[in-house]
Amino acid sequence: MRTKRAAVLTMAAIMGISLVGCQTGGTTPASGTETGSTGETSGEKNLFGYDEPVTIKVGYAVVNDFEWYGGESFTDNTWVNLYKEHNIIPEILYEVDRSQWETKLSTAIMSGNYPDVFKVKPNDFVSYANTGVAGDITAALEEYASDELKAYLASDGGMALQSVTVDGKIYGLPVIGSSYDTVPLMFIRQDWLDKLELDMPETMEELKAVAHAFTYDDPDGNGKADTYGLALNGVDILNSGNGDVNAIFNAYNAYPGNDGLSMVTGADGKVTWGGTNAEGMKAGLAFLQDLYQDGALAKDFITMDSEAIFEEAGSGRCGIWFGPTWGGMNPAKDLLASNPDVHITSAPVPDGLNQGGSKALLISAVSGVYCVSAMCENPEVLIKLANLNVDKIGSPDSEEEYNMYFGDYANYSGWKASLLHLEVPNKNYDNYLKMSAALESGDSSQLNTEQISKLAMITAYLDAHEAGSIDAADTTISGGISNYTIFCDPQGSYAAIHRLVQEDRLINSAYNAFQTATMSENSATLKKLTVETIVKIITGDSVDSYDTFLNSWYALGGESAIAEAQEWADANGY
Amino acid sequence: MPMGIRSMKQKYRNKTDQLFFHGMLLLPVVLLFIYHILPIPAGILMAFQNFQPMKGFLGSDFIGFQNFRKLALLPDTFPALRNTLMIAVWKVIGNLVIPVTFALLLNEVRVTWFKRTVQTITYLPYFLSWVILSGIMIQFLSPGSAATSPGLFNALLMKLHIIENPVYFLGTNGTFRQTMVISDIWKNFGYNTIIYLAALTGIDPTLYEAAAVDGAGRIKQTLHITLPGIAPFIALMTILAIGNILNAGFDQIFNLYNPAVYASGDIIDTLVYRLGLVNRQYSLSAAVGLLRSVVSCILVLTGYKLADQFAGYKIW
Amino acid sequence: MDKIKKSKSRVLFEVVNYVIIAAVVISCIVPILNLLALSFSSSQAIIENRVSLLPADFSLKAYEYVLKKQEFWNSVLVTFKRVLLGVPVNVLMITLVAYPLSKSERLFPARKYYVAYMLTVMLFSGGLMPTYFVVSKTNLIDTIWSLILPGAVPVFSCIVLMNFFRGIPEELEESAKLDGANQLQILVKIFLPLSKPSIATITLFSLINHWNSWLDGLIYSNYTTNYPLQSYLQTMVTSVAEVVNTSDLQALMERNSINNTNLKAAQIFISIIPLMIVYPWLQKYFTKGLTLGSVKG
Repeated sequence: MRTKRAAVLTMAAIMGISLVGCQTGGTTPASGTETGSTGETSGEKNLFGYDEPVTIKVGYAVVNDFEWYGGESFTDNTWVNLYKEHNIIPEILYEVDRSQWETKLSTAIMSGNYPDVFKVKPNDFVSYANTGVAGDITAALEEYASDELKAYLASDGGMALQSVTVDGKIYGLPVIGSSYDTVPLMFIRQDWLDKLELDMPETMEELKAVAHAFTYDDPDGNGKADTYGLALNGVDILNSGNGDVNAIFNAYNAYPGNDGLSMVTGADGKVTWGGTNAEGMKAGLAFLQDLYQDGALAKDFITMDSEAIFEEAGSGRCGIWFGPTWGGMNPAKDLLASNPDVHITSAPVPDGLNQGGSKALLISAVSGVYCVSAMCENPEVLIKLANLNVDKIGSPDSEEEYNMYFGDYANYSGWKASLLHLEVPNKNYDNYLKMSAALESGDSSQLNTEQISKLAMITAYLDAHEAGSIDAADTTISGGISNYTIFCDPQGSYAAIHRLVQEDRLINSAYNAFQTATMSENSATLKKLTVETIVKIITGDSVDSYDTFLNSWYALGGESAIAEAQEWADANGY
Repeated sequence: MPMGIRSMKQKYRNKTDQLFFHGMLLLPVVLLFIYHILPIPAGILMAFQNFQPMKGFLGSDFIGFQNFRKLALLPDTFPALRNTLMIAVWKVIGNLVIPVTFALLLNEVRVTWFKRTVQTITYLPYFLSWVILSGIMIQFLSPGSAATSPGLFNALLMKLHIIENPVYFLGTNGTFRQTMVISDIWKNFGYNTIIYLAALTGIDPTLYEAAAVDGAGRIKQTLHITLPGIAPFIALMTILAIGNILNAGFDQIFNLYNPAVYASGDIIDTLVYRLGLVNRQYSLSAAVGLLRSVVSCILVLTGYKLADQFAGYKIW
Repeated sequence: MDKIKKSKSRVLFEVVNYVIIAAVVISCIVPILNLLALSFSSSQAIIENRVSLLPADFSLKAYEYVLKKQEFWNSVLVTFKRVLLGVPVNVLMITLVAYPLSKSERLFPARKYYVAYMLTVMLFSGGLMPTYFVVSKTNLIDTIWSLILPGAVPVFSCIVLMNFFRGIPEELEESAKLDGANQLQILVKIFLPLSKPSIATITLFSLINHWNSWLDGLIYSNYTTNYPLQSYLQTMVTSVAEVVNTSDLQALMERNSINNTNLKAAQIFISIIPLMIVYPWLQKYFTKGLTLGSVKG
């Protein structure tokens, strides 16, 4: 079952490490004397490797046209070399096509010879733990986690760590993304607003008017009726990705959410599904229905997927779309290449209830879990790999080192080659705060290496913009455009997020573990029903048919899902 | 030669002959045993266990019919079953009607080079694998997106004003099944036509002459001579096809389907694949597989029995 | 044939007939022509929808790319290996089965047990997972034998050859025995030479089967370098767009919408070529073999 797609990680290479025969000559690895541990604080333990070479088996699943930079390969790249330095020797078990990664892992497990460390989807995680495939790392974590790793795991208040705990034991390391990157924002053609002398819409009523104007009032001034208001992702509904319809419902305090099963705390303090707010949902549906009738919502929105939304915006056809923080990037690049007057701005979702501002739902953003095999004799290798990763990516010693391990698309393939890659959570918000301050004040002393390089790109772009000629083919300039749109534009994505944070307009999801088995079983059916109902109502069915749908929703497993979520919330004191 | 010696020699010859025959069959039998027979009890065992690779066959719990009960409750099961039957039945009908009609039409053609060329060209798709055909079809039937243009089929239909907007044949539940059936017919009809053409040539030409003398036109001839003439053959093919009802075409569907069309396109075999090789629900997968095997076996045997009784058709 | 004057309606019918047939034939060619055209067109032309049956913006770029694509040629090599090993193995196995089973019960009393055995094999199959299990336990994973041994004895072909052998008059065997020949000699000197058409048929069956097989190559290989051609093509044809890590904005920026339809088309087309080369033989022997082997009674 597909899971929350919030901040999904690219896995151009999914690794598996298997410790088949961690023979280290009989000595217990990692205890006893060590040499050259990289200066961490916990005394004599080697948190980054072993004293004697330890062989680990790796499994890769890469896309057809995966590109290695700088002449690197599976057996020779910055990460592999780093591991070897620390006496962790990867040995390749398999290297198959990306499309086969689940199948390969599955058959490998069945034949008993599978990678020891591997990444799993959050929804599958519990089954791996329960069938004895993933091993218990509670003790190893306690003993070997570096301070940085511990800080990482605590960064979301412990939500992620809870989700990887089964029966009190930890079975994997969660990949914690940035919750802020899951919040839907509104992206709009500021230049069109300016041309039509309209204000940034703050309420849904205003949005409706603006969408209409974008469709019928020739906002690009070319005399042709080739524009329209709102682009919606009709292919991937309720996936909190680009163009997702969730945003519209959020305006009315309804949160059907990612994969159609977001849980919120209702007015009565009880956990409930975000879509049970029938009034809110119906208001959102009515809004969309109106836009659809009016023509301000593309009639063929059902055929548009995430890519298409980019296309619609980037080709200047639509003027409004909703998406996560990175939703304005590609269109900005495409449009600015030919028209320097284009300005894409971002704002929180408009207010549908005249309550002073819509609220955004924050969900736990675990995109994957790294597990170690239950058959492995050295479960702590997982922790050590994580330590290495957090050290090199989170606090690199120099820009060169950052490039080596994160990748620079020229000489180093970077993180795609690492066996375990944890994202630095809330990195983006931090980027925003620091970088926009630095841009304004001119003082870059507070910035880290990544931020400095990003700022350089932004400055290059701004200079080019001033000069009036933007060469979007230049990677620095196009990098600058993207980064500016997200981090430094006073009306950019993170500026909008910042507003939400400042105005306390973020609410936490009420259920933060991974879906239970029953939820998983039912979620596909429930989501399908929800999506179908939404589409039918937008394209013409009566808005009140939502009530009938809701009854079916409860009956088909929604009721039990809510009950389970409530149970979890109660047990964890939420 | 005296009788006694001859029969002894015969016996001796017989023994060596028998040894020879057994010897010939040894290797194939062993290979078949390992790779076809052995998996059967493995699959049966898996289906009745809660198989976990970590525990192996000996360690996994035996849970009887629970897997089958779970199957009955799984939302994918019924659609898979329904889709399998619908697609397979339509394919049987289509792969009968179209080639027979085409064979009849082609039979009326007197120009030999035309006939030959037609057969040659239409025969080709039969040999192409579904991987290749999927590659062709996905592009050919593509509805396009904002980033690319529609494939030739949609482009043509739009040009002829048959449709206004591109249709996502491979991604819409309303069109997926039909696309599967029609493309299967397209792939196979060259081959099938040749078979039916051969059957047509088996009809006694004097019957036609007699009918012509009696004043029957071509249509009447077709109705009263041709069709009854190949009817037994068609019946035989249909009966044999019964055994294949659960075989809706894994190769084709696997390469052409996607989650958006599971509702109309997921078949038993793709379900088995997904449950076992993707979702690691090994026992459930084995359970579906077992059910399928059993039903399929019954159908095939029934088909053969009927074919034997009806047309004296024996395979072994 | 009497040259009876054709009636008007007959003429009309024939014209319509030719048109219909021609239309059907064209429908067979069109997708393949389209494929060919796409492979010779530039990406830009494809995006702009200018390619139908003829290439637009004629370009050999796609083929250049394919020539350099190591994985593609690797897989071709694997398929060749598979065919060169697998087809003879098949033919051998089929002969080993067909010959004894073609003897009557009088000559080979144990026949019925073997027939029951073969029938069981025909009727039941263990399923994907259990078969994988056996293949892995016999250490075939990632070897060329995983593509050959599980399918070494194709039962249907055995039936075809067996029926053909049966068609050879018993007297030939009888007289050979009188001359003192043993079974091996009878097989090699009499049956095989007479069975050339049928052997050609089963060889072609085997060839096509090995050439088109893709699933086994996928699941039994641990390395993409071991993928046979169709498995490799399968990964290319059904490749899915990746969803990108949001905090790696650079990667997002990198995502280009380069249209690779012409690349796919070129690879697919090249894969069809060998089939087209063998096609005349296929045509000749396939139906012949089938009609020889199946319908009886």
